[in-house]
Amino acid sequence: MELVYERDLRSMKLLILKGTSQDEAVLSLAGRLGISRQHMRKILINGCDMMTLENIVPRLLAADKAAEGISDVLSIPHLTTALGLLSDEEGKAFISRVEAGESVDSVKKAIMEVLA
Amino acid sequence: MSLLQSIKNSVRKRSIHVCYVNTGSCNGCDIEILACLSPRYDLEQYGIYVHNNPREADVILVTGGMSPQWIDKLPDLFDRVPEPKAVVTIGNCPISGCVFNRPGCVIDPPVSKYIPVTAAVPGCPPRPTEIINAILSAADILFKNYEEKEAKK
Amino acid sequence: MKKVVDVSLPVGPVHPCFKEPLRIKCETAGERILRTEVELGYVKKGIEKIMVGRPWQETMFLAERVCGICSVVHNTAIVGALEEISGIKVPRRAQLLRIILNELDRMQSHLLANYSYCYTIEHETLAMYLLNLRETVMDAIEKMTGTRIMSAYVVPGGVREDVPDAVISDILSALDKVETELKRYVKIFETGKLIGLRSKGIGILSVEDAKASGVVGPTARASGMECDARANEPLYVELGWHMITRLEGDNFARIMLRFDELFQSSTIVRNAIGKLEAGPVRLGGKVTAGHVKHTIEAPRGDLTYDIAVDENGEVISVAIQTPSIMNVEVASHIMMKDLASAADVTSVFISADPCIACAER
Repeated sequence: MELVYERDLRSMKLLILKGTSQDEAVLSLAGRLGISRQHMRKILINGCDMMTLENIVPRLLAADKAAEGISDVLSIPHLTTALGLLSDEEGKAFISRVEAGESVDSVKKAIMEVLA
Repeated sequence: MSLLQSIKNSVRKRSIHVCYVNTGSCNGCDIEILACLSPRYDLEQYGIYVHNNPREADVILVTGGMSPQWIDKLPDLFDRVPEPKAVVTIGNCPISGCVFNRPGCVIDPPVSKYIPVTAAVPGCPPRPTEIINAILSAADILFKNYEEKEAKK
Repeated sequence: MKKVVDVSLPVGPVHPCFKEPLRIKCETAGERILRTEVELGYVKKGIEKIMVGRPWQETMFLAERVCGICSVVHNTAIVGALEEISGIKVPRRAQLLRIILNELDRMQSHLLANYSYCYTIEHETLAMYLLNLRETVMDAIEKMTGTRIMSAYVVPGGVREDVPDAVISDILSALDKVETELKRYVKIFETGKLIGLRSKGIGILSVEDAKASGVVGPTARASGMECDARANEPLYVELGWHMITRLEGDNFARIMLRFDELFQSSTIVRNAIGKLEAGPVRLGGKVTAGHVKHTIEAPRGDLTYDIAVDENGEVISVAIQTPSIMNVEVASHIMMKDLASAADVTSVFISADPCIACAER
């Protein structure tokens, strides 16, 4: 008898992300970060568990309300409180880097490096 | 019939442990099984106990039409159940997939493809009394003189 | 998942306390739960995918089978969405009958949720009392619609059939029984010392976390958030509905809030029966194309149907946002964070009234 406890969940996670409302949410987040839908899906599948993926729509809506100023440009609330892809400290560090005078584009690139 | 066998028969008749497994149903059948527990139907007066633990179960109730996660896990779970054991499917989903068996769905009925099924209770969902009736009649046929039947094989 | 912990403790998929299968992987340090990861896919059926390309007469029955506990509310929601698209009028008697059925459905769902919680904290006596009381409500539903679950009573333009006066008096006597018995059970729950030890101050959901995750229904109202889709329906306000909230946000508050809502639902049913007048219960209408986002209050929270239909009545796209999606997510990720004991995992989870069949569809 073979024990099958941990199995590959990627196909089932993709099935969740293909749902109508979830797909729209993934597209809008991908637009925010300036990456393709496939790349966004890959990041989400590797970083989030299945329940967060189901609940992606209300969480991103709440993050949209919380975002303002620099954090809105960098989509920090979406990545920290909403999806948990970055920790709160990392999010604050990125915001302070922009406030210290670094260009938004280079910080965005740094965020993408952390995500990938 | 030996004395030991008759003792076993009378004990087994009053002690049927049940484990229910939701393999992708809508919850309706599971709640009807739960309703059997209520003092109105009083499942325990027939000696049926819902433990929901496969390792001490005699009867497994399967509700639902086999979602992808269960395809390897249900046969595995069936192996853990000690002999003698019976599988009773509740509702239309384990038989045919009910309304969910359409192009584009992810379920793969029937359940009998994966594990041997003793009895099936159709209905969407069946009433609690039908569920109790099915468990009692299936268990009676299967568990009576079990050792003697095994020895003849 | 990064492994930085003592033990990764799996709970489920088949567990004595869970009505439905899901797997919660808890990362623990000693007895303390650090964080949890949920594994789903056990009851995924792909209902949204099946619905697309079908005439809406079929999707009505498919929507009912999203969830077996609150099947009435899914039926009402999809029919309400189609009526909103096509501008079909519903007679007043049918509107009241819909509210009566929906509130009876809410009562049985709340009783079941509280039964599950009492069963999980091993107070089996109270659990069995509540489960038996639920049968009284189920009898009322059966007398009204003809079946216990999946009744397909709500149809576009009204309800399937009228309710005779004899059944109305049966419903009233069922409510009498529920109200008198329930007062005793609420007292047992409220004053039980051991129940308090297992419930008070456990699984706390703060308002900030509740807002960040979009939690709805009794789970949100127990944390002090005023969110109830019934506030937007004038008929409900006319029948004596008012917002019930609690501030503690722990297990005890969630269960007590459901008890309070049970009494409120019973009052709403009584008021609706008092306002029933003779009249038609079903009118016709013509289907038109359109796209609508329709939200109503299910027993567990806001239920949204985002549905688009073409002029032949075929569904082009549908997205169902059930309340359990938000509630299960919050229960498993936020309420369980920093839980003092692994023994509380199941009771915290059940206190949010999870329905995995709704959450996965």
